[in-house]
Amino acid sequence: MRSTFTKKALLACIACGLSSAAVASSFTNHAGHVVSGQLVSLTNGVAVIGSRAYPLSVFPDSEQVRMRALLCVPQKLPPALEARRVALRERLLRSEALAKAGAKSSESAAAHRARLEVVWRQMLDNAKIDDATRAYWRLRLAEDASRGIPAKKE
Amino acid sequence: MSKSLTSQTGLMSLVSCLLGLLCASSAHAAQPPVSLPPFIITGRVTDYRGAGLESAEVRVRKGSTLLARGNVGKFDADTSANYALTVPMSNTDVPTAAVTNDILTLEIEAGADTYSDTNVTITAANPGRTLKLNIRAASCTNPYGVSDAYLSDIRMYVDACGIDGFLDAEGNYQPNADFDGDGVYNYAEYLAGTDPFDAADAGLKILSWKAVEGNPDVMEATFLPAPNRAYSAERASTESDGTRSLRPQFELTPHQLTPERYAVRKNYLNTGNEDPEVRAIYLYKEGSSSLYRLRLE
Repeated sequence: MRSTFTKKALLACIACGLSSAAVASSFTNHAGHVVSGQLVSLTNGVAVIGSRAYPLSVFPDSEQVRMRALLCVPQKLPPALEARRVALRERLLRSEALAKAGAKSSESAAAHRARLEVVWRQMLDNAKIDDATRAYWRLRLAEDASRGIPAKKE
Repeated sequence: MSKSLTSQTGLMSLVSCLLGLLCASSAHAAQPPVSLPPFIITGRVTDYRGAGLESAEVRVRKGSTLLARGNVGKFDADTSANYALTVPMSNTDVPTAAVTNDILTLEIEAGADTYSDTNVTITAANPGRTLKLNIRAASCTNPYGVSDAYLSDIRMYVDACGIDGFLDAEGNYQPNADFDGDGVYNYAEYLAGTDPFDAADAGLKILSWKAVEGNPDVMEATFLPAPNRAYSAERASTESDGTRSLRPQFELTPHQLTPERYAVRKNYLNTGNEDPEVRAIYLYKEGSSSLYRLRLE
């Protein structure tokens, strides 16, 4: 059942012409054919466009590590943009650490976070990156990309 | 006959004297090189913001000859330095060592960049001496001494959030202004790695100051350090009559990282690239009354 579903998904991917999108990732289908598509999420190691996607938590730990690594690859930011993200992230985490220590109110910290996220979205919008990468990072300002694998579970 | 002999003897003695001088002169030129105690160069290599570089190589050259090289990194020793170079010294001019007063060039390579425009020329000191040299390995095209990326980010933040007053009417950065009113001017916030738009994030502000429970001789100070910095604590005593000087003389005072009575005391707190977190240091009370403050190295 799942096999049929994934084949349909891959066909849909090709039919939609998404292979010409900025992310040129290659995937191998169950028949062993290499196809190109835009990686939106992974279902059991196979690319899926839209529709159903399973959280990584439903897979065994060893498989989660592999999938996170796969998910990380196309979402890498250009170095200059990553440096900007790190600088904003630093300001965000400092604000939250101060709130945690009682040096500022949680409302003030939330307002600060909102402002930083606005700036981050604007930086993403102005950057020359593909839509998938933009979408991936839009809500991940606080992600710790320096440690390789995103900490958050999908 | 005897006169002639005397004369010859005089001539011979003059020749031997000249030979002696020649021998002495050639013996001086052929003096064997002796290795002397090295000349140490140490300090911090930072970016424009004052954050220690995470990976870089520092080299010392005499002319084009490499004399010493070392990696920038965190040291186990209690120091604020993030590099140390041991320059071999000699008593005579040899290609592999420096002689006192030689002109040496310090060169920094960070990633793909070799900072040729910040190369530092230094004069070799006497053997066994240590030179402390802090270097900023960065470049900027603005007149404020902040990195171009920082300025660009600030401008984008101001535009995106519609903030008035941070930049002047011409859109210029104002290093000597204190936009958020926390008492720390904008450029100092840049150096301290704090947020110039957040009044709660104020330079080297001590967030809490209290005696340790069960050990009233030890005070706990908390603060929020910035990444890749070195901090120390300083103390100033009150005057002998108990009054406070208008210009107190602060001196380095050791601190502990844990409140126990006999914990290891150190002079410097070095931070790495970890996520921001409020840290505590513990200071022994000395005298009847003292002033304490944090210092960014």
